[in-house]
Amino acid sequence: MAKRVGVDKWLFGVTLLLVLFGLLMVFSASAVMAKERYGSPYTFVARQAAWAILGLIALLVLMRVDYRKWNRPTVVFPAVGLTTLLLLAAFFMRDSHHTHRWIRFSVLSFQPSELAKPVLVLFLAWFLQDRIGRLEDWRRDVLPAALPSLLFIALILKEPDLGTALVCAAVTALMLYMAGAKIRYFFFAFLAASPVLYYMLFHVAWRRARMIAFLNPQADPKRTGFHILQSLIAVGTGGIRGLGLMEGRQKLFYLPEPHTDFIFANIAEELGLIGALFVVGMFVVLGYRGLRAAILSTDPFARFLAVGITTTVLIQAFFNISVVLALVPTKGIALPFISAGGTSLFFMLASIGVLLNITREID
Amino acid sequence: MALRGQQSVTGMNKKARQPLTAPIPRLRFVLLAGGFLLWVGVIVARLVWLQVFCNAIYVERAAHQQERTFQVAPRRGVLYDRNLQELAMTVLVDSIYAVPSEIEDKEEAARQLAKIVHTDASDSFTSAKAIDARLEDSRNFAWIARKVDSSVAARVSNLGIKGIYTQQEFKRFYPNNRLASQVLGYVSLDDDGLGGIEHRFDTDLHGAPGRMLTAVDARQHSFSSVERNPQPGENLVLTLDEHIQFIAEKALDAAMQRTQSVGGTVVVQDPNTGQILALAIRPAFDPNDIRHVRPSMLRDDAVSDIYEPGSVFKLVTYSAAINEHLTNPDEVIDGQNGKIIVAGRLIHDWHPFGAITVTEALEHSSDVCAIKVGLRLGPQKFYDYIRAYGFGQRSGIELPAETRGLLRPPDRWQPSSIGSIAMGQEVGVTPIQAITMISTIANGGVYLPPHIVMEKTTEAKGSPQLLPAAFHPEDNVPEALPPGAHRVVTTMTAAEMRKMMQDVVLFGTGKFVGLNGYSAGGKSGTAQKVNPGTHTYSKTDYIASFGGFAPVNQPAISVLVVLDSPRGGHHGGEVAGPVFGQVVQQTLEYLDVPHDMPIQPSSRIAREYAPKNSDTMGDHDHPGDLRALFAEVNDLPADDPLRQNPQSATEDVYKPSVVSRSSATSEEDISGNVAAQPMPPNTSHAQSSVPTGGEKKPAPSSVAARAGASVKVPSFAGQSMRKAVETATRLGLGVRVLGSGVEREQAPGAGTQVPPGTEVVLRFAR
Repeated sequence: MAKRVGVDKWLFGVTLLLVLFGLLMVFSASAVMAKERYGSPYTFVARQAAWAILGLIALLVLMRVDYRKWNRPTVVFPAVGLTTLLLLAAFFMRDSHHTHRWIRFSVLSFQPSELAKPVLVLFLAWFLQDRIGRLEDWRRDVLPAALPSLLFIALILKEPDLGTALVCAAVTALMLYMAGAKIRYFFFAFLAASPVLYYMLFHVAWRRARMIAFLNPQADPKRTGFHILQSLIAVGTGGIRGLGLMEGRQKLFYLPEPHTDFIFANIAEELGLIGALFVVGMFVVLGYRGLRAAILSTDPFARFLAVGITTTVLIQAFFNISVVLALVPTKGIALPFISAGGTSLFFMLASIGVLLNITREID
Repeated sequence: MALRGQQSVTGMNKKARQPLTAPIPRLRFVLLAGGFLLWVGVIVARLVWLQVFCNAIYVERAAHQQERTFQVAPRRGVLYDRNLQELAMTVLVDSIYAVPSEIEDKEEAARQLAKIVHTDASDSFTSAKAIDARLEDSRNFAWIARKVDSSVAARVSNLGIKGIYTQQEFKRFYPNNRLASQVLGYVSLDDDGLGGIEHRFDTDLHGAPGRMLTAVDARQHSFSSVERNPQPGENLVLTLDEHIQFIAEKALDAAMQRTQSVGGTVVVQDPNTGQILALAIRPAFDPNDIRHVRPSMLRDDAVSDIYEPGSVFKLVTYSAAINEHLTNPDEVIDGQNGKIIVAGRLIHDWHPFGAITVTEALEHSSDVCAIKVGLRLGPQKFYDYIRAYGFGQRSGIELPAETRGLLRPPDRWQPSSIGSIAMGQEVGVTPIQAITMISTIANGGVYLPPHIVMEKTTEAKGSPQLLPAAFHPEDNVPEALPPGAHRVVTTMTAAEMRKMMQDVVLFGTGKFVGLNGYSAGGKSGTAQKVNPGTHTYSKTDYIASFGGFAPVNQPAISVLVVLDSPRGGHHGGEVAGPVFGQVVQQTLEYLDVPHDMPIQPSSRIAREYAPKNSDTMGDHDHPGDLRALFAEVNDLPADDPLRQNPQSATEDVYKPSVVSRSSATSEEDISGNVAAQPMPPNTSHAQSSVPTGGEKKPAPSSVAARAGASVKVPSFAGQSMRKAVETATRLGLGVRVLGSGVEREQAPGAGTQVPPGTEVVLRFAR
């Protein structure tokens, strides 16, 4: 088989850097709030660090496990089945914030939708590996490929978690696209989805308010436009050099979720354009190394796996940043590796572990 | 089924995988990477746009939002008098506010709160409706009531409503209440100066507010961090002297009550520096309670209101003519039996004078002589002198809304104007302009611009950098004149004027002044008020004034008294003269100015109330001067009965209709004061020498009633300290001991009747 060289050191390094940087920024963004709510400024960062360690262990293990072990139906279908069960199980848990995103075991909490993303990538890679350029038969190729995606997306939408559902849809679309699906399929798919999308966006009152707020934040700066305006103020005040680490003010009272979905605003405020470009740059490096692995790999399964993992990270990262910069309407999407959120961090790191294993066979 | 079908497909493909596998199209990789790079490009462009080009806008918006969140008010600067006594200071009081998002039932909360804080029906800020409106208006912050009593704050916190908090705020406090209120002005609820010095120096006094971040979100409310500390305002040291101000206000209050005047002003100035030592204006208001003050009272009449000076203005006429050698004090002028025709207009003098000297003409305020002297000057020269004395222009004193006064240039004078102006008509002056003119004559002929602010300082009281300004009443005008100063008349002219003005006090219209131990010069003025509607002279309303200085040879103070529309008598000399005398007497004694005239061996008070055996009176006839002792008496502590008087006196001004009971009490208080210091009260003085003065006699019965409950002060002369204290204690008198050795001086004098418990000041020396 292909000769074994070391893992991609750039990919490994940039991942580690993102995790450590994320821990620092979670501390900076949440210290005041954590002290306020739980009495200790370290509450969030400690939880995040624990997940980071678990995630890094998973990364190191998966890095050493041959990715071909996952390329079999006995792995893929149980994974899809388990994810479906967990997504369903979330509906039987007590809701938090009127959503069913979580499964809690005493202190541990788990977000099944975070598992759904890598499982979806795994399934599509497995399914598409020998269908490149032959996705022509609706019934035999396209629909079976899309079926688990549609199932996951429907369950995630029901939670409701529109952001993650959109990420799943985007990753599915991109992988189908890479498999050579015709552009008109996407057009039809979009047409088919648009009534659902329209309903989701404009018939749920708070989402419609978010849309209106995005289109005109000044319309109601104290309520719906509040998040966007405060995020822009945070980014804008950062300037080139930023206010300095821990010196951000917007996180104190104005930024919503400064340690999760809006952590990039806090980074931009405290570290300025330099810090913001550093974060963007790290994702660019990660994306480059990931797609490079996909191109250079000779195994189609590995290629799809690499494309899927890389695009999952990039779509979330850039979507999150775009929300913060008010380029797109507000959606609950975390910034990979950086936002506080254990499940997301764990599965992101595990995915990168698989990706690193793929890079072992590339020089 | 589907599962099996898929498996079979996979199985089939597995065999065919190698040959069938096509690479992912390169183009699609390029497009994917290109798409992501485009996205990155948009993000970077957006970041640069927001963080570089829009940076300033967002910095400002962040600051705005944080500033609006919470401002920390600065401590307003203190107003000190010249001896660093606080005239206006800042204290901490409670204010009540709400975080509306934490309140469950806003309407009910507003109703409950209003029950406690809405103490004044006229206050629309604290009504239940207003509170509720504010609670609905903001999520984060709403005032409930500001600067309330601590008891109100306690009752509110006892309600236990969630989301209601108290916070300390600075409140302006005027420890002397009404004292100098017209000069000091007042501040709004937000510490903005709205009148007087407070308004004029608002920017200096106000200081810079600090900024504080507080929670927008109710959960995070308790978190707050001081962003910038407030910068306290500068302190101002005024030229006023609290004691002289007190003397002036007390005298003015008594005069206002006696004459039923509608308004009045007493100004005391140091003629050698131009500094205003006291500026008493009535009606006064209580700056601690401005909500209940009529806006018309908040004006500073001393600089913004003009009056026709009348005969006081003859000082300008005569001094100008003497300075121009057009006349001299001894020249004899024909009074023309009280008639003169100026430009076809016949003017009657108030008395048909015959041939009299210039000095006598001033003494008796002959209009005809003044007009004749004025005519000699001619319009232009006369006008130049009037301007040189500071009339018709702002003095630049540090008070708001100063007016220039009314003075037309000569080319706009009527032919008869020169006659009118020579006797003080057709001109409008402010009390500050008039006192500055008198000071010019008093100090030897130099116009010194008046001042009321000594210095601005950031030093706090107690700092060695902020020592009380040395005040030497005997100082002369400095060689190098301060900015704005200029000579108006020669030293010689000024000296001749002072002599003439002394004769006014000794023999003329100023004979009601009645000083003991001091010489004084002055001039009375009586002007008919001009009816603002008809522009004609009123037949019933007069402005009675008296201005002058003392002592004559080395003037330490100049004083001007102006009374608006006195009832009964209206001649300046009779009505304002005694007030002038009272202020001069007490101020000079307070300032330790040496007596330049023999002290009358026994004051009328002592003669009237003392027992008949006059052997005890000998002690009072002390050859040494008593000024130090008097100063001690005047400088009594705040709890001394002397200091309580203005309170009752000022209150009495506001109910002048109550004559019998309250006025008798206040008369009693006044005579009580006088009894405590061997000095004739002007009331009784005027009464004894002017039977037709039209002034109320103090009821003798009140004096008799007082005498019954009082103690006769014995003579302590030559006693040892121990003996003196024993004697005093036995009689129920307090003692204040100065020096050591044997008793040399005492106040009040032996034989004086005083209430039990009165403090007797004893000076001991070897």
